[in-house]
Amino acid sequence: VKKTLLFLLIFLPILYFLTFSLSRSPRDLPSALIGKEAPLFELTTLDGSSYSLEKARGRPVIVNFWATWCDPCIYEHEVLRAASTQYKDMEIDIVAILYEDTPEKAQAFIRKHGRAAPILLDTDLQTAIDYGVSGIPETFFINTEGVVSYKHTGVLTPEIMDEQIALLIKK
Amino acid sequence: MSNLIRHREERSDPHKVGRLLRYTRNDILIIVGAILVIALQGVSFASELTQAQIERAEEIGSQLRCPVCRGIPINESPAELAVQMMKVVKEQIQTGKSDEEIYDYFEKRYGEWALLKPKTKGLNLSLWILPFAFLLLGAIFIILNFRGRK
Repeated sequence: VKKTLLFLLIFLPILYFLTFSLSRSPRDLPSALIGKEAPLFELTTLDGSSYSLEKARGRPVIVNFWATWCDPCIYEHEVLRAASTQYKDMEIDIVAILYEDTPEKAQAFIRKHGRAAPILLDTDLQTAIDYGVSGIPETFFINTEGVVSYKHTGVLTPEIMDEQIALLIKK
Repeated sequence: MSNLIRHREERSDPHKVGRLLRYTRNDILIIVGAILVIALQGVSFASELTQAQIERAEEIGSQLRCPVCRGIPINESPAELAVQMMKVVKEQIQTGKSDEEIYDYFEKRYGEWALLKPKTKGLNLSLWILPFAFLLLGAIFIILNFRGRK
């Protein structure tokens, strides 16, 4: 009995570690940027103008990474579109950064699904790297002080959107 | 009709044909030159790195986890994100950053998860110590069992 107990005491923690730690997806890990200043970026929009995060200081900013080839992004697009309309009168910036995709495909996507937010082009993926993006969709909520308050991995729901915007406005 | 005849005559004039060929040769030279300039611009970044720097970039890249792959380093991944990350590594080497600074750069963005070799500090120490501790315990366990049987 003692030997079995000893065996279980050693074997079970190893099994637990192998099952739950090594199999964890990096996307489940919390972002290293939470509570830290959001990396600044200045990117060209799909319509040729420019968007600077630094110039948005003082306003909450929602930064969404997406692509036309990402199926969940189609559902999320509707959530972003609804939020853009709902919070139109509030000083909130919602921007969608195109990830590993082409402007032409983004244009076609907008023609089909409508425009949710200004689309920013991150051609060298530098902004994606700066935000530690490990897949899409990923959404970062940045408060008025320019600090990342929350990162959502996967499809945004209207509930999460409302909850996080309420927190951003409160601050 | 006469225009057509003149045109045929011009085309058959050997001097004119030679001039035409000369222009064509010049044009080809210009085009080849332009292609070379564009191609050289494309590889200028890579050629600025010395062999030692390229090897250092590969070594650093082999210690950074590709965020969109399963357990492979960025220097082995064909994923666009990994390729861009390797480019960042090379750029940072060029700007004189140390290995530690480059690892820190990625750790700040992706967290410690990005490092394939965890740092030997804090809780991570257990990752380095525990395997040896288990090995030692196993050896003691086997020796004690062996002695007990004797």
